Amino acid sequence: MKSGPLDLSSLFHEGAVVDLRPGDKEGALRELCAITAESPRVRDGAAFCRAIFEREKLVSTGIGIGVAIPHVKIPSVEDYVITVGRAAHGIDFDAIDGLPVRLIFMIAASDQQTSEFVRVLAAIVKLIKTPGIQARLLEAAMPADFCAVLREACP
Amino acid sequence: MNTRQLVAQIRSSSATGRLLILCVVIGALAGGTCVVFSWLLETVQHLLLDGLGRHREADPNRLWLFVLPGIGGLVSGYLCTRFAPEAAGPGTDAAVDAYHHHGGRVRTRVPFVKMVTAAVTLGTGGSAGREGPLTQIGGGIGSSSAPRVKRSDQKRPNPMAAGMAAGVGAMFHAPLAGALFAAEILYREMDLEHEVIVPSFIASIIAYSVYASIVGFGPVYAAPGFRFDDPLQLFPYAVLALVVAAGATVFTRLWRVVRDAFKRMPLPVFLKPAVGGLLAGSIGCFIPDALGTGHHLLQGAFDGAFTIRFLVLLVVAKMITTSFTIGSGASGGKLGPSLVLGGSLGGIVGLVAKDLFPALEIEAGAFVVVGMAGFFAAAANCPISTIIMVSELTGNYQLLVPSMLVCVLAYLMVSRHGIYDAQLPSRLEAPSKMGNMLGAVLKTISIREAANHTRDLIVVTEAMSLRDIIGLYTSSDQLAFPVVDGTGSLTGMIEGRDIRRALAEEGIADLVVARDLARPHEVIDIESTLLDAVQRMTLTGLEDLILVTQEDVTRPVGILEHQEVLHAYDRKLMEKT
Repeated sequence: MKSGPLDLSSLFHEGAVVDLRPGDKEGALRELCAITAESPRVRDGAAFCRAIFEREKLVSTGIGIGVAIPHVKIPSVEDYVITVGRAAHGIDFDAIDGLPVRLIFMIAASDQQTSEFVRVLAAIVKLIKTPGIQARLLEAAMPADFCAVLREACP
Repeated sequence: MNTRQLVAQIRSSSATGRLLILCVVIGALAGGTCVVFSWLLETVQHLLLDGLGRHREADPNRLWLFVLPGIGGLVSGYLCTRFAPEAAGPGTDAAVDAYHHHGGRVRTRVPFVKMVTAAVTLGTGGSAGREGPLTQIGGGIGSSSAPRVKRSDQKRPNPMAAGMAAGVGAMFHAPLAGALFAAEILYREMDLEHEVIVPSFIASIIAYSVYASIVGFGPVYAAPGFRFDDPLQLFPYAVLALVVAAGATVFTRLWRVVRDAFKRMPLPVFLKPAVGGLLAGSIGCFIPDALGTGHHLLQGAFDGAFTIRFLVLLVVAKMITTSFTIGSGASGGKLGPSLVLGGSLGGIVGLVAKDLFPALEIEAGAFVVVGMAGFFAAAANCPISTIIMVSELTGNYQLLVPSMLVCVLAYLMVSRHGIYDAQLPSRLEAPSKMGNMLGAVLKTISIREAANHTRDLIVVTEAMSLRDIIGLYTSSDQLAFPVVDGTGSLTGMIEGRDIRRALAEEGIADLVVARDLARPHEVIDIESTLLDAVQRMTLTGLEDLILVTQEDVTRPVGILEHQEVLHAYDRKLMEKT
C-alpha cells in the first residue's frame, strides 16, 4: 500500500473472511494464519505464523468488546494482508476485558511499513467501535455481505 | 608497505597517469582549436572589418563601420539562439557556471558554435575579446574529452578547467598565467582551485606548444626595455592603482546597466546582439579604434604613439562599445577590452606622471603594461594570474614589482565586485566542495564524542505498550529507543517520528507494543567517526543509529541521534574558527 490517504476498504476481500470452527485461541490463530499464508504477499507462511504467536505471547491483542487484532510486520511479508475470522460461539482470547472474542482481524504487514502500520491498526479499532457494526458483521449471511458492511463503515 | 597500500598506490598512480594523458589530449586539441579560431577570426576580420570597413586606415568606410557590427550581431545572435544558447555572451561566465553548477559539463557543440559566433562578432567590429570565447571553447574541449577516457562525472571539472587553461594559455602565449587563470577565475575572493593547477599546467603547456609551433613563439606584444629601478616610482603607480580601480568599477557598472537594459528589451533574443552591434557601430563609425579586439592599439600605447586626449577618448568609447556588444548578448570576451582599457588608463597616468615628475624618468609604456594588469586584476578578481599574464604577454618581467603593487591595490579597492557573475565568493561556497569540507570536519569527530546517550541509555522491551513508550518519550530527552527482546538482544528501533505519528492515532495505546512500532535498525561501532555515521544515515534513511561495540553487536551501548551530529559539527566548526 502506498503512503497517503488510507484506503482501508481496499484491504478487505471476500476470500479472506471465514467462519471459525469451534475451538480455542490457538486453533483460531492457526486457522487464520493458514488462510493469510495463502496470499502471494506472504512469502514464508511458517515464519508469519511463528511471528503471530510470538507477538501474542508478548501481550494479548484482544482489545476487548469482543474483538482481537493479532498483527505482525515482518520481512517475509510484502504488503498488507487482512484476514477476518468470525466466531459466533466466542473464544477465550485473554482479552483485556476478559470477554470472549467473536471477531478476529489478523493483519500481516511488511517490516518496511512502519509509518502506515499504526494507521491501519487505528483505523480498524475505529471501525470496530462504530455503533452497531459488530452485530451487523456477525449477522452477515455471506462473506460478500460481511465485506459490504465493512466497506460501508470504513472511514 | 603492505599489500593493500601497494595496490592503493598502483591504483592512484594509474589514475594520475590517465589524468596526465587526458590533459595532454585536451592541450593538443585546445592548441589546434586556437589555431583554427585565430585563422577564422583573422579571415573574417580581414574581409569585413579591415576590408570593407577599412578599420585601421586613415580613410575608414564609416557606413560599413556603422552596419558591420550589427550584421555580425545578427549572425552571432541567430547562430547562438538556434544551436547553443549558452554560447551567447562573454563565455567565461558560462564556463565558470558550468564548472561550479553543472559538474563541468559543456555540450560538445558549444565550442564549435562559440568559435564561429565569436569570430563573426569580433571580425565584424564587435568590441570584445578572445579570452572569454577561448575559456568556454577550451572548457568545452576539456569536458567533451573527459568521457572518452571514462572519467567519472565527479572528476569532470578538472579536465574542464584544464581546457579553460589551455585555451587562454595558448592564445595569449601565456601558459603559466593560463594555468593559474583557470584556478583563480573560479572565485571572487583570494582563493585558488588547487586541484586544477597540475592538469591546467600540462594542458596549457601542450596547447601553447602546439599553437606557437604554427603561429610562432615569443610574446604577443613587444615591450622590451621597460624597467623598474626607482622606488619613488611606486607613488605614481599607486595613483595608477586608484585610477584603474575606478575605471574597472565604472566599466563593470556600465556593462551591468546595459546588460540589464537589453534583458528588459521587448525583442527576440537573437535580434538583441544586432541592436547592440548597431549601437556600437554608431560610435565606431566616428571612433574606429573603439571597434574590434583593440589588439593593435596596445602595441601603439607601448610605443608611446598616442596622446592623452586620444587615450581618454578611447577609454570612454571602448567602455561604451564593449558594453553594447557584450551586454546585448553577442559572443565575445571581457579580458581583451579590459586590457585595452587598463593599458589606456595606464598610458594616461604614465604621460601625466612623466610631465609632473621628470626626475623619476618615467616611461609611459611601462605604465601601459602595469595598467593592463591592474585593470583586469580588479575587474576579474584574479590578481595573481594577471600579473603573470601581462608579463608573459609582453615578454617583460622587469615590471613585476609595480604590477604586484597595482594589481593588489586595485583588487582590494574594487572589493571583489567584478565582471564575472558566475564566480563564487570562495571554495567554502562551492557546491562541489561542500561534501569534501563537511566530510573533512565530520571525519575528525568520533561518535563517542558526539553521542549523549551512552551511559544513561534507555532501552525498551518488545512488550512495552505504546502508552508507556509515550511516557518515556515525553519524560526523557532521548529521541529514539533501541528495542530489545527478553534476552536483551537488539530487535529494532523506535524513532521519534514513529512515536509522534502514533500519538496522532486514537484507541491503540494498549494494542500497540514496542515490537509493533519498531523499525529495522542499523548499528554502528561506537568508535567510528561521524562521517561513517552520516553515510550510514543517508544510505538507510534513518535519523538515528544504535551504537554497539565490536565485541557484541547485539547489545546497544548508546544511540546517535541526527541532531547530535549537527550539534557536534557546529561545535567543531566553532572550535576551528
